[in-house]
Amino acid sequence: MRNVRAMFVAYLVIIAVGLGYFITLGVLHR
Amino acid sequence: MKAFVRDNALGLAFGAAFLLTLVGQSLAGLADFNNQQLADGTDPVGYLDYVTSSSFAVDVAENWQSEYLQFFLYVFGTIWLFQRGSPESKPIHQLGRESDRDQQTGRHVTDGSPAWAKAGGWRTAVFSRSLGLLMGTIFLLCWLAQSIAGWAAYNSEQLGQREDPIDWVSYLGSADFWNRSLQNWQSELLAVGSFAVLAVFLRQRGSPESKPVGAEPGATATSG
Repeated sequence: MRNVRAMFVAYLVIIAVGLGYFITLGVLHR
Repeated sequence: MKAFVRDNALGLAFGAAFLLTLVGQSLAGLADFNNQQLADGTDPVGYLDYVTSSSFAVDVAENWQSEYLQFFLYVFGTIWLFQRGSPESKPIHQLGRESDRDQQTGRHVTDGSPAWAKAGGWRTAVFSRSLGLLMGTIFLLCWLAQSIAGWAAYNSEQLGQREDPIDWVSYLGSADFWNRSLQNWQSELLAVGSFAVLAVFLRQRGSPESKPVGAEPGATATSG
């Protein structure tokens, strides 16, 4: 299950990075 | 490494396809953006400028939010709503949050149950809703991101046309914001609703999303 936990975290990181990136771009360009 | 790929083939394949299509979107989006720039008589922008623009951010975020809304609604909707014959629906007698025995909670936990399922109290209450809560939270954050990036992109267009920029609250009531939101929601809702119903009568051999090929049309909650 350790393999799968790594995948779980990877997806959470992708989503968090994406969200942070979009919000930052919006705020910077406002 | 071999074990990692075997254990995560589905997650890896979709993750890789996501990254490839995101790059594809950025390239096609840049070409489209620059066509509009030229039509407006303004200078085209470079790749780095485009992928750090509010225009790119809103285009990606509006699609993300609708996907997570879809899963959030599906996770919650399928607790309570029945679709006869669909592999996506529970049997009618199991509608609702089910008993502790069915859900392996309370005195029915096993040694291998997750720690927060065993803990009881608020931790089990939160863990019992964690999938839907996370989907709902990601949806709200993506929708927030769409609103901020969309507002910035909208004002950039307004300024380009020598019109007044608007504040964020006004943007939340704008046609642009709701057109972007609703055009994504309608397609997700159609896809999910039609999938639940089409899977009553159609089959995909070997897929856990389908009933077994020989299953009766009226058989609900079976997968093969």
